[in-house]
Amino acid sequence: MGYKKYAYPKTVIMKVFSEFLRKIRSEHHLSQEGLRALLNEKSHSFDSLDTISISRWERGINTPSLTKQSEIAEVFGVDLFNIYSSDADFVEESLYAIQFSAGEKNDKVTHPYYNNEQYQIEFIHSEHVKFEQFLKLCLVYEGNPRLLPTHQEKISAALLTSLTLVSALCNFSQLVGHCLFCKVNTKALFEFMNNSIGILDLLASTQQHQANVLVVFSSFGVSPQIDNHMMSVYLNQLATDKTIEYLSFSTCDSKLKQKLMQMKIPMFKVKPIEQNAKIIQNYSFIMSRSEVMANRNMLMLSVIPTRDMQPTTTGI
Amino acid sequence: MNILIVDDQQFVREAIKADLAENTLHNKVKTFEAENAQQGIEAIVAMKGNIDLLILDLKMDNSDGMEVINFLSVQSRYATIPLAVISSSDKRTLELVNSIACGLKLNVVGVFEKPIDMDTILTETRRLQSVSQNPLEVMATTAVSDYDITQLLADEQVLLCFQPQVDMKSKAITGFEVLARMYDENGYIYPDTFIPLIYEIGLNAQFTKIIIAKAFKLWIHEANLSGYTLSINITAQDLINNDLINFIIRQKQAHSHIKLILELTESQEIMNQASVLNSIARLIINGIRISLDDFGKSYSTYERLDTIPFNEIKIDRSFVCDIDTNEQHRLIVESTIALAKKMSVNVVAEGIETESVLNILDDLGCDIAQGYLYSPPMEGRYLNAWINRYEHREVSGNDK
Repeated sequence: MGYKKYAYPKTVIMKVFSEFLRKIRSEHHLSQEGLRALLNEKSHSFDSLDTISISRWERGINTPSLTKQSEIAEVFGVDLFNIYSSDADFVEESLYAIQFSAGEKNDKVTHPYYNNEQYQIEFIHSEHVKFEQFLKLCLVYEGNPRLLPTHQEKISAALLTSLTLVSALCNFSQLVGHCLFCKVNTKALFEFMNNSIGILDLLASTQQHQANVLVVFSSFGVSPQIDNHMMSVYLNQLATDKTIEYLSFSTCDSKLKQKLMQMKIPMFKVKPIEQNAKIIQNYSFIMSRSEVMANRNMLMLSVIPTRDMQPTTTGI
Repeated sequence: MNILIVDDQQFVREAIKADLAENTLHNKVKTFEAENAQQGIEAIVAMKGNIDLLILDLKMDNSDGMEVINFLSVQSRYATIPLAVISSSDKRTLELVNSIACGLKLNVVGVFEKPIDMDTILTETRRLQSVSQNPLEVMATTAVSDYDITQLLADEQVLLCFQPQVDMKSKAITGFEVLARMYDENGYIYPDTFIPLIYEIGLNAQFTKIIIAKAFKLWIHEANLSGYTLSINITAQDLINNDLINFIIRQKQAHSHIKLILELTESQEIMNQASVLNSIARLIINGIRISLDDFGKSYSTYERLDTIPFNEIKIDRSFVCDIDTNEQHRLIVESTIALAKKMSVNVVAEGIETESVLNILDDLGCDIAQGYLYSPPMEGRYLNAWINRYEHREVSGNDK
């Protein structure tokens, strides 16, 4: 059940992993039996592993789940992102998957001002002339009262430098997608999720504590393709920065919430926020790096390179 | 569009129908009616769930809407039916029902106070529908019912994650609770998804056996873990299974140094069965400690206190996580801790995420702390690294 549905990505995954396994086994001068014994010794996920399975994995007849692949890779000091991002076929397949989902159901994504034109992705620094304007736009879209500090509070420019704002623009000025994220420490993040501290305290905490979690506040694209592309930006950031242990979302956007749930990410908590006599739900998600890498959708998005982009101003 | 109205008052149903006729193009809407929960459930089954909107009254003569909500939640094929709950109850009750229905992962359009405005409900239904039809995913993911749990279990596609428990006073790590994950080629599968499926097909004892076997293997293999308690969840249904009980006792006898704690979640109906109590007695005689899990969450709480010679109470995270802001929850937690002290049993608080909650629990005299403040559940292979970092104060929670 459920094993034949997406033949193509599955084939590529199988190919990438079989190549990795053969390479790693020869590099470490291990026989198939030697590899079996090593894995057996290292993890109880391989208690019933036999050399027949290893042989099938290597010949690309079969492949273990990403969860198991991840454990195997870690035994040899690499992670799935290293393996999959360096395979051109897999990266291409991932890019194709993003575009495919846009093209297939085109009629449903017709947007008042966007007709699948070319778009550019741009990192907007906090010093950028349009930073404030774009930040406002995406905060309005997000509608999360917690992201809007009260007017009395003065926002220092230094605080905003820890925010990363990425926009997708078509025709050089029309905003067709954005994402807003920040690297913080889990301790401050849980305070924020529980409403013990506000957004400014969260941003300020980056100056005292080593960041270990990437938290996304807003992520949106007018078409599924742009939406996925935006997601790939921060997933790629997470994948390439090994100091980041967790991925988190804190959002009031029910569309993003729904997308995450469809991607099988468990919701961590829902906090109602009362604003102008209206109740707004604030959704939080948190998952570990290993959960991200074992999630096929997320792994595919994370390998899409953001190399054409300007460096970010994240981190101080 | 098929609309099912479940309400005991005929005039309400008529009013809704009249409203619908006004708000929608004629002929496009077909309405169905039921006057109590049972009839409603029968109608859902008869219509094979082919319902575009279910309008459900919360309080009806002889029955209540919760019956229908519970039915929708256990029958996963009906969980996607758009549900609009209507009621004349107060705001707090409406919020409660909303959070229950959302927690059960039902397709909630909203909870609406009577008198209702059909136009609002229909608009909201359509909006949610358009959102859910938007092809957002990279690829379609398999539906919940598509998981072949039997096969995943046969392949032992089960992964153990662990969450640390810490002594409130000394800040020393006391043990770990096992939190199971399953996985397929798409990623992790979480207990709220697979546990109901496992119970539905009656593989719960086999599942618990796999968890215990894997956890024991890790505790045997990693000698430095043996000082820590190993807490594993078990249900009353598991306790009926003699094979499983024998297996657990054999494991414990073979590895008597492992400090096994079984965290018992309730199931009211069978908790008092002689066979369940018999199993508990056998476990205790063999040096296995019993912890009452999710304490306070169910009505059977006090009955359990009376019949089971347990060693530990675990206060449910839903009470703990906001005791710094929720006075009611703080009172519940406070009295639970006081009760535990009087009975001379340990109290573990789950769901600690912030320092302020931790400090209140410390003041209240709670013994052991567990929660994301220390660590989210982590895979077994990262346990030693985490312990090492905790002891060198490189991760949060060990500030003293």
